Amino acid sequence: MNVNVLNDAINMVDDDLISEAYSADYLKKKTEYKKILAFAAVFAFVTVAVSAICGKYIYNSLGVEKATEISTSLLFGGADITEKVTDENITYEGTLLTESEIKEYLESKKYDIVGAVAAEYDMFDSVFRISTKGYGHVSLGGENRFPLDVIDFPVSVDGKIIAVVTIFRSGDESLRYDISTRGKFSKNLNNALEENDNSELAFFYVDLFTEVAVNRENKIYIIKGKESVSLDEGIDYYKLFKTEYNVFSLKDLNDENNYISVVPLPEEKVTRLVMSEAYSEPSTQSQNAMVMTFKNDMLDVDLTDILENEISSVEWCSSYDILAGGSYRECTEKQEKVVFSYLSEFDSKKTENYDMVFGGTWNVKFNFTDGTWAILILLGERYYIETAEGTSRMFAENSGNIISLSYYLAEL
Amino acid sequence: MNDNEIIALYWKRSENAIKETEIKYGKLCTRLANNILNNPSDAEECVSDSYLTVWNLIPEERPQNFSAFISRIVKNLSLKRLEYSTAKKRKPEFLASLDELRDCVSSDDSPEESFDVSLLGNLISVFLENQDSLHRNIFLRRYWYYDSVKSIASDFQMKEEKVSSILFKTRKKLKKFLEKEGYSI
Repeated sequence: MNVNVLNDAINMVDDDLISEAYSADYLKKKTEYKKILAFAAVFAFVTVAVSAICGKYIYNSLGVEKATEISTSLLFGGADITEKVTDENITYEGTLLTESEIKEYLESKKYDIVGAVAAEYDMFDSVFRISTKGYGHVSLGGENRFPLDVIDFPVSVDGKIIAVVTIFRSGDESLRYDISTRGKFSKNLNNALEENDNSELAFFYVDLFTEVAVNRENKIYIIKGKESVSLDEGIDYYKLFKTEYNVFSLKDLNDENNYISVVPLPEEKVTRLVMSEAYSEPSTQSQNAMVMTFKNDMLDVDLTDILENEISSVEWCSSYDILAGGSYRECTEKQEKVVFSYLSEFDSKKTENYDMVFGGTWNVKFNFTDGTWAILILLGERYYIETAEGTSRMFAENSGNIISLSYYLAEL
Repeated sequence: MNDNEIIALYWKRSENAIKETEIKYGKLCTRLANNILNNPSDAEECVSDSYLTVWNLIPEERPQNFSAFISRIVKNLSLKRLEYSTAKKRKPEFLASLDELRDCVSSDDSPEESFDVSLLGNLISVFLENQDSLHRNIFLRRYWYYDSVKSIASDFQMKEEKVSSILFKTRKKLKKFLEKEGYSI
């Protein structure tokens, strides 16, 4: 083996390891923060180091104001920035997902959900449990937000969580789901729950992507990370971040009143997108790519079908908007004309298998006069269509108008 | 500003995106580029080019891990620039770390062999995940970020000899691991 090959291979290690490496030194600064604590206490202000997430908890002993500064640098690496968040109030957003709504939805989607998870792990012979008790997350960053309509529901086999289904209310108020199989990070979640037996953990996010759980003893688990740290600064973080909607325990996972048992359908019956990570040429940027394979039973619908329908309105959004709890925005008449001018120039061709650069999507939604709808999901140079009935096959767009349309939407 | 807020600025095509990226990741990016190029002005240019690359890649891409995303871009641009520079004469940390990695391989001359670098990268990830976190992070700081032993020692509050010893042991373990996995090195 050539040393350059080895160097290239090291260059390909997991992103999480890369981030961790440049943030780990902040752990060492814990002691420095503690020195500040001792000093500040003299002045009736208590400044406490939050070693777990490498931040500073500043507590005004008069109780008038209190604020938490949580540094995301431990989690993301390399940054001398702290996210100042207030812990006085949590702003609840969205309409709470009700128990009956969740059960009905999970019942209607159970084979799709379990089919996708079974395909990921090739576990078609297993009995899956989809938890009907879920947990949301307080989202720290600027303010403490809690979207009540975005809840995670664990999927387990033999008492171990192997995936999490996130159910959320989309812009059109309908429920949708997203599956995270989590790979190696399922182990962290299972360990955290097992370590606490029947005692609940409270879940929150530091930034959109970093999931953290805290137990009653103030031990913090970074679910997609390596560290778990016990806090001994006398501040009850569990109490601080626990709400009615963001707690979950091993007991909840195993309570027979809390799950639906599902045996997946045989593999060939599963309609799904199979996504797996692939890599483009090593040592170049943009190494993350996805290989998506569309399986059988896709809708036989194309762009022409949409454009021939009677359209009452056109809306658009980015997938990022949806993730962030946003909704579709309606195009003005002028914007509609531009959108249609691009769409009319589309040179589309159905495609079966393809590589795709990993990224977000721009979505264009068509509301038809008969009350139905279709959404065009734009993925770089490709797109597919979603309707209430399902998903079409992927189309390649060869004229470049899809790129122009994406950029046009980005500018709106 | 947190990462998703920065990404949101890129999606909105707001020029503040670059400003915020620089505020949050400027130091990290400059340090990484300089580790490779050993030339502050070249490093600065590379970092600026990296911001532009990020600007062009988003919204096409939505990075899950923004710090790793931008680090990869800085690293790749810096390595490309290194090819065209005379930096070799200046012995940047990149080349020094490469020298050390020769411990893990027996020869540089094996053109007949082809490796699936991606697979090898995954294997190395597995290896690193099974190491003590301190050892893992020191290894990556040296061989991914190309930090000098001195700067690692300072960040981790230990003596340089200790860092060198950890790196030496980890390289040996890596070699053994790769051999066990069937790589003839």
